[in-house]
Amino acid sequence: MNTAWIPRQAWLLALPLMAVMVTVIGYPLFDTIRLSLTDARLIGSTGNFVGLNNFAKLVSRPDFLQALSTTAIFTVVSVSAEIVLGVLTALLLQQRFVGRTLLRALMILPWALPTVVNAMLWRLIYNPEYGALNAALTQIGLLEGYQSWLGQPQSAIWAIIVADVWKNFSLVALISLAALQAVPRDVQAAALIDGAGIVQRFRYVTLPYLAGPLMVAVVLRTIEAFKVFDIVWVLTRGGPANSTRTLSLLVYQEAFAFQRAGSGASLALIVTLIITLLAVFYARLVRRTEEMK
Amino acid sequence: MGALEISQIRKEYGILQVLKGVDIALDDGGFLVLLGSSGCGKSTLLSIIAGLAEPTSGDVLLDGKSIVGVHPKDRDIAMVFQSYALYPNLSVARNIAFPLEMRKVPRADQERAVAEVAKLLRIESLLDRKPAQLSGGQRQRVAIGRALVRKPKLFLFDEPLSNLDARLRSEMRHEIKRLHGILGTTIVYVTHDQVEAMTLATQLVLMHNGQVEQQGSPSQIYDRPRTMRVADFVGSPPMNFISGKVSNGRFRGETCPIEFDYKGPDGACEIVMGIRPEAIGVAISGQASAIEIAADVNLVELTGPEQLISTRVGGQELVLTAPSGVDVSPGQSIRLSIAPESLHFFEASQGMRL
Amino acid sequence: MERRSTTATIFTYVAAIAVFLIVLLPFVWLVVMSLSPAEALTQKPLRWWPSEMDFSNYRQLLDYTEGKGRDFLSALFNSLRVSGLATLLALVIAIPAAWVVSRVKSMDWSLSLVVLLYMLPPVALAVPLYMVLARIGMLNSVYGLAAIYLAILAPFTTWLIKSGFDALPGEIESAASMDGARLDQMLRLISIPLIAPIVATAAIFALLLAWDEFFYALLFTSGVQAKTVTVAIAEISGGRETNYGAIAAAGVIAALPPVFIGLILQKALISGLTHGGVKG
Repeated sequence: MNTAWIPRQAWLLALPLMAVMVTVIGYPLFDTIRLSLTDARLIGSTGNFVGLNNFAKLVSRPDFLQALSTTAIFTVVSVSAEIVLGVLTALLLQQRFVGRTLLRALMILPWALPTVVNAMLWRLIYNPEYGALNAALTQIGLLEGYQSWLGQPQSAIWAIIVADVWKNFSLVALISLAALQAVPRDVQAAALIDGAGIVQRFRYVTLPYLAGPLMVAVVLRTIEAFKVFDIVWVLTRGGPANSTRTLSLLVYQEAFAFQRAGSGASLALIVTLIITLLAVFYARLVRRTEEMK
Repeated sequence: MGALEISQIRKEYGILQVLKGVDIALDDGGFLVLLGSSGCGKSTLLSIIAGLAEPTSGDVLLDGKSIVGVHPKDRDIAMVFQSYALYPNLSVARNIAFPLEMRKVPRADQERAVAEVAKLLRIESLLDRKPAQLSGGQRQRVAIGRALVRKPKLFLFDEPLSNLDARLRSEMRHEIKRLHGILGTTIVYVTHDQVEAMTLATQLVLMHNGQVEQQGSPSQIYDRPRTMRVADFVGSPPMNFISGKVSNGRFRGETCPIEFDYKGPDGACEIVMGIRPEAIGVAISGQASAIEIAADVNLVELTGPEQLISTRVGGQELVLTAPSGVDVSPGQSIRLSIAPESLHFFEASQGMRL
Repeated sequence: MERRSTTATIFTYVAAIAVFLIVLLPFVWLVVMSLSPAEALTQKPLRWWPSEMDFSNYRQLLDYTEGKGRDFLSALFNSLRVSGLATLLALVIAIPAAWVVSRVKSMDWSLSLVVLLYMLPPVALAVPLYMVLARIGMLNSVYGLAAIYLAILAPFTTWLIKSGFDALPGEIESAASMDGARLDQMLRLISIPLIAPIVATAAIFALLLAWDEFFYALLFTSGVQAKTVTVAIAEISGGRETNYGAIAAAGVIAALPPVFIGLILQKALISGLTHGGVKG
């Protein structure tokens, strides 16, 4: 590249960004690490150095292990469902049918709906006494009596997952659709003329174009899902009986409700570590998908 | 004003040597064409003259003053880019005026200069348009206009015609030649097209693999190519080469039955003889000094004014051009005549002219 | 492209109708609830369609003279201020940074770092941020929250805008620099105008993201002077309000700006999504 004309001081243009990132993200991250080694309180005591005590205590705490498994279940189930439903919907939106343009346009709606409003909407739908879900299911005879969907430990997490999938499968569908539209027409036509069946065409013509963008969607959705807070907070606040308490909610409780800043910071670092590992794992996977191309 | 001197320019990217010590001199008002295939370093050299890239070592002198390390805008050099690099968001007039606007030339002077350049390039009617509304040829004129407007010491052209179709290309070629005639400014012009190079250049530099293969006037390059590579690159169809041995004052072809008294310079016994297709005739007989060879016609291609005849002489293919009136057909045996003075001789190992 | 059998056609339409209903029904129900009188929503069996439109929920929420309306309107206004301010500042620092990262190869690492920091879970930063904001008296302040949003928005706007600069032909900038433009003139007159569509896309993503944010807003704002609309909705839906119609109406109002933007600017948003897939 011919860049001799770029002045040597040009890097200064990135300085404001760097300054903001260091102040608002770099410093707090560093301070979280420091706090995690103390027994500081959120307000008042600045705490004493306790080494790795916080971590040692945490990993044996049942509420931590429960939150970890809740978060894992939420992440795996919702992300898989979103990917499967999203790709299927994208394939559907590729077919010709009357109203396709309208349906494609509508797909942006769930994604554009603010997360908190989405949660609020589903909270109303799941309402044990007056909710639409109970009313609809009893009126068509699928349900005997009204259920407290969010009030029972065995159903609450699934109710949250449904609400999350509804909002986010449309994002996967939109990304996949854009990828599908990048498949060259003449390659599709050539495969058809060469006698490839529908499965073979998907495997050898469509999938190579879909794989990259889909991997990006999987990475982003997984990381987002692992950080989940908003939708759970609004729907159940982690209840009933802490059955929907995810890791982010647990950190919130520990650090802010119980004001145990030190222990909350260690917990937050564990979450960060898991997310980093996920990201690294995915980065490897993405690179390998690209190499396969 | 505008004499250019390039001395010992090297450019390395890591271990990759793009330019390996280039020396070129150009007089004021000259039209220098850098000719070569892609990857020969000609565009890198142009960027170094422009100041868009810095050489690893070496010097560039403009009017005797070194311009290495000087910012492009302070070199008094203008450039026409391959993609034209017009500013899509500005009107044609503002595109042309842009260099003056940046140099804080008063508005009235800017307008006068733009009008003058537009008239010279016959684009007066396009001044209010945006680049996207122009044809390829018109964009090219605007790009030239933007370079002309500030009357620089030196113009650089980076393959300016490569994005045009054949007809426009020859039209713009004439236009550039006309402008050079009117303005008399020094020009460095990069191309891989030998027709452009031959027709435009007053000085032609053939580059290969980061080095100057030969510098000279177009006729020097064509008539006395310094190396086999130059001989091969310039001329279409390319020169025929026949390897052979010289002994006892006679040249004998290695793979074909060609034999004649060798009167060329001494110095090697393994040599390559070169002969341009247009220097080979179909023998009518009786040309006393000509070398005559028997050949079998393989293929005849009519290009319009002339025909390309591919023939086989022993194990060697020989291509010649003949007027379209000459009646030959594939399979026929003909006799070829070659004038000894039109032969080129190169020593076989390095390909240097003898 | 391919001729379809009748079965396939029927299947396509059944699936299309199913997707249509799945996507649209919850929205329709949200709007219906917001327009229903309070009694209609607590009847058994449930009244699916109100006998008459009732706009009182909206009227109450948008009435600044009453407590409920004042709370909600100021939350809307706070959201607008925080997202607007953070977006504006994010663009101001992202555009020059994006240009440098795009043009200077040795700056590549900085963008990776920025993206990495962006992936950090908010909980990893929340405690120190809370302590700092408390110490400098910026808790429950629109500006404190905007400063934090700035750090969330800046990395991905930089990322998105960089892709715009990457696509800009290098020869145009080379030409401008030979024509005598200083770096700032070149950016202002040539480069930035040419990538204006991407800058606009980045701005819209930033606005949507800031409007959507809940976690930091919940932690760092509580009073009427800074509380954002997401926090207000969580509070309303969390039990303070028993009129389901009013809850739904608040949701409709909060959802209107992003949904409107989403429908109008669909093309730009989807191209942005495929560029970076920024909003999770």
